Amino acid sequence: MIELKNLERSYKAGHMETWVLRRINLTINAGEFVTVMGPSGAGKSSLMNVLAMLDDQWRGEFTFDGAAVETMNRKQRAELARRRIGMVFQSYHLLDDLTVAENIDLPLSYKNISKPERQALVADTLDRFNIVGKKDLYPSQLSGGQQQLVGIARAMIHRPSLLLADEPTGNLQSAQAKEIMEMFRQLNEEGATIVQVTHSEANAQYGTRIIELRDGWIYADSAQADAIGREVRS
Amino acid sequence: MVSSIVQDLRYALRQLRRSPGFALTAVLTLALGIGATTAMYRVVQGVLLAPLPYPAQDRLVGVAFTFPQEKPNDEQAGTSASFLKEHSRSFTSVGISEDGIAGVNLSMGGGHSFQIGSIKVGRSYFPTLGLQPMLGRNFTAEEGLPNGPKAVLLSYGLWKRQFNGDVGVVNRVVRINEEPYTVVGVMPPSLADTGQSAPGVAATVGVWQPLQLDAKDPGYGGDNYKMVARLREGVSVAQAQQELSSLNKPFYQEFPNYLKWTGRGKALHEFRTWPLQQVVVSDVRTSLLTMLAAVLAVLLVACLNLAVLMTARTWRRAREMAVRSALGASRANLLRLMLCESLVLALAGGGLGLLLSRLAVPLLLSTAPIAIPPMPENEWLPAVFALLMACVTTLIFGLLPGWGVLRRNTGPMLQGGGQAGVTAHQAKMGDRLMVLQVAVAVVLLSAASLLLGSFLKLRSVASGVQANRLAIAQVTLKGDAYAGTLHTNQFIEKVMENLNRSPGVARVAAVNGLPLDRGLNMGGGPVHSEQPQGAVEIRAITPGYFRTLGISILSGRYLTADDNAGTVPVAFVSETAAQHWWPGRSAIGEEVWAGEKVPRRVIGVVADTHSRSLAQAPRATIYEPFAQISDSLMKTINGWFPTTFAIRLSGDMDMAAVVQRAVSNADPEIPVAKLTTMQSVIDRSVAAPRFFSYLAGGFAAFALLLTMIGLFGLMSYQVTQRTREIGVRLAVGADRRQILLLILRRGLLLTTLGVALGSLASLAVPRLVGSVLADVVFTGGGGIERHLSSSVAALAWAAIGMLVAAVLAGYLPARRAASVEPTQALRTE
Repeated sequence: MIELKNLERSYKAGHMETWVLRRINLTINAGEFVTVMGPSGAGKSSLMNVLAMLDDQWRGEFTFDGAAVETMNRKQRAELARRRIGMVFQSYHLLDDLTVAENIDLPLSYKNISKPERQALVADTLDRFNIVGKKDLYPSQLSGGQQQLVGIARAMIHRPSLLLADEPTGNLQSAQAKEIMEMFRQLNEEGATIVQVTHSEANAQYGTRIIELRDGWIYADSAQADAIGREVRS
Repeated sequence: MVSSIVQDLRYALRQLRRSPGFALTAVLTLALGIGATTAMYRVVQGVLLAPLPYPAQDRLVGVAFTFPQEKPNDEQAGTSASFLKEHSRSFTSVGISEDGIAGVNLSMGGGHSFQIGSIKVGRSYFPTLGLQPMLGRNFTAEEGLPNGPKAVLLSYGLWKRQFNGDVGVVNRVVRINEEPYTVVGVMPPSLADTGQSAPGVAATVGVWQPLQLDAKDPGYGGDNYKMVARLREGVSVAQAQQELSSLNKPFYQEFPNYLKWTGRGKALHEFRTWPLQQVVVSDVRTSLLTMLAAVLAVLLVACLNLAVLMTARTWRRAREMAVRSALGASRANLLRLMLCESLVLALAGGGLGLLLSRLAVPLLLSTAPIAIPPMPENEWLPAVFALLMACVTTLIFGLLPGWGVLRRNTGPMLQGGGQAGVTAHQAKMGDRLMVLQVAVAVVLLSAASLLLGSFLKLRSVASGVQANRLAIAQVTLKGDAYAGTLHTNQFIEKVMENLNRSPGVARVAAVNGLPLDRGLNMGGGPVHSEQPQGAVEIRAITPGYFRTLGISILSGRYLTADDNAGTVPVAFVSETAAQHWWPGRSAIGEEVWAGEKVPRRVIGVVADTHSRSLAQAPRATIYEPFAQISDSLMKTINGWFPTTFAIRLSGDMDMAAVVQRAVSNADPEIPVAKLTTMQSVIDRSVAAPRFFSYLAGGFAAFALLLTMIGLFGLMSYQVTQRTREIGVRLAVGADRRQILLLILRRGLLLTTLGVALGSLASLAVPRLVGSVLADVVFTGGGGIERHLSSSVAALAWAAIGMLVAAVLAGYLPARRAASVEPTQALRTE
């Protein structure tokens, strides 16, 4: 589904060039639940931004479902992301002046979908995430876990094939975090490819593969380790 | 404590230096708002509130014989003034003067003369005001008699200018209108030497001449005089009014002729009295108060603008305040910090505003076509006013919005929070202020476009004269030399002959009472008519007058040199007069009364011209040849009005020397009092509406600019506040065009709300403007209600202007929002 080849990202500050991603070679298959880990400043969020197509200042090759992202212009990338990718944030990023239902509707409002269809999709999603009773509440009236549930519902409403979650439980208590991770597992079982960034070993266990980044390099990839292990065993 | 304040002030200065855009906008907004308000305050305080420069001025009153609904005035007919002088008991003394300044020709050592303003006053006029000449003496009783010694009192200004302040000027003989007069004194500078030569036209008095009320005087029966009086000790204005009211009945019993002087609803003139201070400022009071109201509206816009900017700034500094609070700063400490910044802004804005007002007042006084009385200079009062205003506005409009920050829970702000976007409270505060600002600006804009529309409509009214290449030269033919027709005619003919010989002159004619200037107005009308005679405009003309001015002859023949003193008295009537007096039939051959004992035969009907102003409908006018005017009427019109030479030129040329030579050749002692063009005469007649429409336009443009600045500030602030929200929106699929529209739409929504609110308020504008600026709003004869339809157009223009301003002001912040990088925006977590 995703293939990164020699992908690099750096920031320039004056004459200094700071590298945040170095020669990333990574393949993520459809249906995987990948966890990206690493210390602060390792390049986890930068990698997520590249995958989310929010960042277009990288070099290298990025293939998404066979399409070469590096050849696309900004608008085409945004369009591809709009259709295929959903994002969940550590700070939920719900809009305060919108109700739960309106927040969930937000991604659809930027697509050419009729109002009745949107309403039906929102109703389905509220039902699916079991938050129908909260639909008219504002974010400030919800607990952190509930807010993140709404964040996930918003990310999933247009049924993306790739769900990116950047520290989705970073602001939550362990009980709420567990609930959210169960939700991710369920979505993965339903077919969504998930890439999450986390510091939590417990959360990483919900995934099928762990990638560790250090100073912008891929330091470890459990999939390759498995492959090496298999090779060794064979 | 002091060192803390100094530290806060230093920090405030550093903060402002770091935000030069905000600091400059806030200071300029304050400076312009306060500058305009202080300038108007200076004028209002100096004119409307300052006491008159006379001893015990609160005992002075103006006494009028006027319609009940009239504003404070002191107009009197000679008859009523004499009656009051004889019968009223409320006053210790009564002073009577002519009602306007007239031009006279002054020559000091014989030979060259020049025109100055003169006003005739009764002997008790100056003692009533409590004034004595600073040099010499007041008029004697003898000098006031019709054939008494000729004496003048000089104004301080004339004495200084023309006599170099010579103390030996008393008893010196000068020539006025070719006759010798003895200078009997010089009046002190405290006596106002300005007045009006015509309604709304300011003029300066050079000399005062003695006035004797005489029933034989042709102006005696008309309201050509003014009366001031000093209240008797213990008598109030109300008591004096009570006594005057009791004199109405006896007056009408003695002079039943005045029962014909009826106004609206058959109202009769009454004796009225007001404090003299009110009378002096009466003509300008409404205009000044209207201007003050307009300026206050502008100040309100400026204050709202400041509030919007300060709200934006304070919320932007919310995190800093939270940090300070977390580190131990009390609310009082934070408030002091914010006060220091407000104080710096107030002092800078107020100081600059004060400076601006000093520059604006002379500009206002010199450009205002209304005759603003001279005002005493008071320096500290406006300064206190400006600084007080600056502090109060900054405190209320600058600090209160920030109060919310101090009351807010600081915890979430320090943690960064999980929220994206502007909080409802923040948004509402800024939005409400913005809507209010737009609404006030719309009211100003619609008032301005109403006044501008009225002015343009007035400009489009045809004067009835072809003004192109028409030069106008005026001379004053007063005194015994020009008290008869023969000598006047000889002078006119000689000047015309001289002018006609000059190269570039195509045609010349003379008139007493040029269109849009002053002229004789008295009883007249058709001879064979059952209608009572009404007031008509009477104009003396020479042959060729209509052709020279481009006035069409609708029927009949031209005036010729053969229509002279020895032939049948003839007249032309204006179209309005012909239609009114002989509807449906020809006026030619009919007879009219025109201020003389013999009737005149109508030999032509001419197109209408506007005799006084373009705003007034053309009046019934009778034209008669100079050559056929009686000596007594000639003396009257020469005594009251200048004679005008209208010169049609064949090209553009400077006529000054030519005219001066032509007049000097005819009479070396007659100066050219005025040399101008007909276009200037027309322009001057619309100067007041033009001034008010331009002023309102200027205020409205300023309000529009401030609103744009406010919108820009608010939008910029909201974009900054909403950066994360915009990042989220981009992350969940919004494209940049949608973000651009999101921000623009918000600006447009606020503007639309403001426009709707302002439009509702603006519905009252035509009536309001009509009631307070009745003298300068031209309605085309249909009342101010007719402007209700044009006010819709005015509102539409205001709304369009506002919406365009909103798009312009919102575009840059919107573009900035659209270019937000989501990765940057979301990194703030």
